Amino acid sequence: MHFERCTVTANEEYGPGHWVISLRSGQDLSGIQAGEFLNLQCDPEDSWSLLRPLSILGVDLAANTMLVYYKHLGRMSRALSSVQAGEALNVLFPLGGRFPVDMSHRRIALIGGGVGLAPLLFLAKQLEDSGMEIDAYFGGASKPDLVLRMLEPYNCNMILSTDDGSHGYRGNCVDCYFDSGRSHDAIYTCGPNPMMNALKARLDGSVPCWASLEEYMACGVGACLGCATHIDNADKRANETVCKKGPVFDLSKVVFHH
Amino acid sequence: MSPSLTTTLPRGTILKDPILLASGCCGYGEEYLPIVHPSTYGGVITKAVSVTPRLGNEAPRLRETPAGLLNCIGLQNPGVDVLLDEVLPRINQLDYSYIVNVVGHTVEEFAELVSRVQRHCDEQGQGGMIGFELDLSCPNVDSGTTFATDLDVLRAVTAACRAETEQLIISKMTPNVTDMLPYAEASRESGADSITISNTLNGISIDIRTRKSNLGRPSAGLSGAAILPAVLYHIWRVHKAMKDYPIVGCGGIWDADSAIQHILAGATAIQLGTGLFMNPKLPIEVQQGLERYLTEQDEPDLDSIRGTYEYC
Repeated sequence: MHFERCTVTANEEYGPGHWVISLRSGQDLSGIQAGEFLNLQCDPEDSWSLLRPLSILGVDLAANTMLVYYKHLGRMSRALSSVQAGEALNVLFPLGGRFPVDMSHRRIALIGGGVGLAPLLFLAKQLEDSGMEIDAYFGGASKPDLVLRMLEPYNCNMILSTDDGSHGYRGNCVDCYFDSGRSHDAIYTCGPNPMMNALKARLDGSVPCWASLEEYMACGVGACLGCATHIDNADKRANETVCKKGPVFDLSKVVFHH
Repeated sequence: MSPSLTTTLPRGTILKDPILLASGCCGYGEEYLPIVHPSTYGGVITKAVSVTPRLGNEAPRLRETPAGLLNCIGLQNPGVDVLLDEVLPRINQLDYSYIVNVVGHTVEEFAELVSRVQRHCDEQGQGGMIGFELDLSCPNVDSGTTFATDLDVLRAVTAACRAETEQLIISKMTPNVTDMLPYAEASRESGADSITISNTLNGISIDIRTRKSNLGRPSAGLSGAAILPAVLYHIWRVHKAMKDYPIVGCGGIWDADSAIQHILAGATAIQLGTGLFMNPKLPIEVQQGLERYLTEQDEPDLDSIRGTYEYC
């Protein structure tokens, strides 16, 4: 784990309200894994606001940069989008744990929406030479939400859906997944809680499903317990920190409250 | 010669510098090890421990406010058995000083916690343990009041804990009172060696669409830079009247300047909490800033500046 002032090398809007920022580090980034996240200062002049937890979209080892996908959602993401290349931001990284991967699996599914695509795309990138077949069920409200330009570099089967039918399957990505009728050795998901809860409700437990959760966070390192989420283990209920014990959990054990 | 940051608290407690990490913001001190080792500054105050494990509150437990943070963690902790059997033996290997924060529902629970931790120290060795902090901002089930705002139960709980240990006891005050002075006096009279000023301010955050709380509870505790002036006021008020009673300042420290303000108002030691979340290297930045300030002011140590705030 490092706390470093990273230089912004690019900060580009890929679609309306959808941005990717590149952060150059002085650290060795080769060990960063899909599922891990970072805590990012969004305004270089602001020392009073919390760092924002954001999934790592990828790592460019040649440029020694970490890529982060974010969406205009509030004051801090708007501030982040006005940061220029050459400016520097405080970053605490890498945080949390990775997606578990069983290399004997032959076909996996990625199911996600919104900024939840970030860790899934990183996973797709890390597994592109694994020989696994990767089906990516990505959804959005409408075509612009899919940010098609961002999906271009990834070598997986993109099965896209939109709520309004403006692109691909009409409906959400969970319905799209089940309607596809394809079987997988494992599922990886990240997106809004209602989406993941809907997925959980329809899975029968025969296929492992790993979910990357999002929660309000402060420390990012398991110290403050602010991000605890309800995990239902067989023997007892627990409130586990999303930042340290997660963000990836067995979806069947996650109890969604909001 | 470089100025000294060495800080002395009662009962022979000597800290490398006045910097402590606030309970609830640093776990047991281990989480920030990769960034700044707690042995490089004063020490940490551990997450509040209760007699039995507590699950804490439902999410959301956090809500950011302008320059502040509301939290309703709900004192989630594994209970004193786990603290004694697993946590203390583990952190005693890590060579840093720590204060154990305890929280109970009754006077008896507070006393039991202090007694059990003290007995553990007596039998297993002191390790890095240097004292207790009493978290008094929770309701007393017997009286229906909060320990920190009821002078009678405040005296009772402090005296009961005092009877169980010869080690340092710091009582953590609430800022949710008009005048903290009577509570500080009651703490001293009943055996607390020092007081922490303070815990979080009461606050709420409302979702205007649903007209319900933005948090998992109706109200929560406010911390962060936003509360600095309010905390400084309480420190100044108590220190002015009780100059020989050591105060541990806690609230709103986000840089060296705000830490220095705590000491100028009258604090002997300081706690860093929410500021860590923006800057995990804050302990080192505050340490360096304190040294720089003393050098610039040509002062030999912190005693020379403590409580020197002049308001007219």
